[in-house]
Amino acid sequence: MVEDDPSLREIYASALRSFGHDVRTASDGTAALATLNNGWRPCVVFLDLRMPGMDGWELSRRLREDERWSALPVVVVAAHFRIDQEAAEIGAVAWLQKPFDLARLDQETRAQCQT
Amino acid sequence: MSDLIEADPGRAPSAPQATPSSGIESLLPAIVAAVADGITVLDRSGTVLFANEAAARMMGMDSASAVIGQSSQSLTDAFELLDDEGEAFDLAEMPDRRAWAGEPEPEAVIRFRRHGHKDDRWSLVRARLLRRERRESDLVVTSFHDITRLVLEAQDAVRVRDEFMAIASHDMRTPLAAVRGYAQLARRHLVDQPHDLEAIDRWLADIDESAGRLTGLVSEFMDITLLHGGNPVPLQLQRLDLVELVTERVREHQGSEGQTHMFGVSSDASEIIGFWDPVRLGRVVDNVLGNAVKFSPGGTRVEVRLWTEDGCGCVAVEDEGIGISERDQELIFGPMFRASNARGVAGTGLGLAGSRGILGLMGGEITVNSQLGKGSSFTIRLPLAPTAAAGGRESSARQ
Repeated sequence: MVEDDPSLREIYASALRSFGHDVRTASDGTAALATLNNGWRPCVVFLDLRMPGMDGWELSRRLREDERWSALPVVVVAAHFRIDQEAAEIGAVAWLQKPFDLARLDQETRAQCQT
Repeated sequence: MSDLIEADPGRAPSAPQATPSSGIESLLPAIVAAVADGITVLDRSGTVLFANEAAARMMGMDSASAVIGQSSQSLTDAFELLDDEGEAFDLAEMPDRRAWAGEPEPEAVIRFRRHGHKDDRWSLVRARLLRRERRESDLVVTSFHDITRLVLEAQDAVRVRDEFMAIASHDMRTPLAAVRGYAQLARRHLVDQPHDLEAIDRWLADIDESAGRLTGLVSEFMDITLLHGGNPVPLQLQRLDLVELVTERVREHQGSEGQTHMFGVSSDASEIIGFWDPVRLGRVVDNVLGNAVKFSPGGTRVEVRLWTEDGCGCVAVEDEGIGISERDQELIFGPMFRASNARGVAGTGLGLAGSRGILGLMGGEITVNSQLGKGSSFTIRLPLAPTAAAGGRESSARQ
């Protein structure tokens, strides 16, 4: 869960945990890459786009360019009104527009992590 | 003009004429030539019998004589005619055709795009039938009033409004997402661990705080809307210590979760007393501090200095961030402006415009000093004594 807003980071991570998923959080792209490089293997990345430091566009570009992560599905979690366009631009598999029902996090995780 | 009348001897147009004694009629050709609107006169075959200089200019011709004698069709062929939706203009709707068909006051807004050119011109086109004694001698007088500037201004205003709406709804989504999120977490928790009231209480407090952020945003949008329309903003001025207010805001930023910037506050005076609106001034200071944090890397310093100078209380917030180019420094106080190097940073561009407007109402100002790659310094100056502008009666900082 890559999200710069501390409240939302806590909410989304708590929700995912309560649904029984193993989740790590990062406040920007740099922190997310560090988590991945430390050997943690998620099956989906929930990604906010507008973040200080390394933003979501840059992180998704780096994931695509690195063969270790290029197949990792990304779900955009953002408030922007053209989120559909932005999600398509970075090649995301899905998007969730804030605010949304927390159950959507569970649905998306199950959808991406089944295989 | 006189040619027209002589072309049909003995038949006076039904339009009223100047009295012979005034002598003004001899000036009519000069008067018509001087009219800023384009004027053409067509006969039933569609031939231009007369055009004034303004009409010639609008048609891209050097002089009226180059237009006279041509068919109106060949003149409009040089243009693509569009309606207000940008679709091809239906030629049956041309005011001159409708005037021939007997419609009393036909008019249309037509967008003229010269083939191969990009700068469209908009005209309000009106036509009137000039009845003469013989029907085949009837004429149609068409006027072209250029409204390009008005159309562009209106389009600009609509664009700014649309962006404002988009930004406002976007900005409210984050605190709204927190409100919904905490409420849903609390409800789930009530089912899973109904006795853990401590967690429930913390989430309720978080909901309250997020709702407070949302309220602040709504108030800010309201202020911006009022300022933009030149309407008075209901300031609530009261005796305040600027040092205390700024120190408190800095403490708040410093204490926020995940905060890695190093803040420093220094002041020349132990207190700086003035009459200001505490909520709005707090918002302005938050905005400037928030920008310093957003636009500089974590771990860098944010220096806040306070001093008095020329009857003003001053606050400067200096960061070691990405800086603002000279070109952008002129523009960052405009509504909805985002600097070219600001992409990827959360935020809207509403803040600085609103801040300048609010400070203006209190007789104050905000200025910037910055170097790309080195950092930015924003300085707020507020008069210590109330000024004429303070009190919200007048907006000295229209956006």
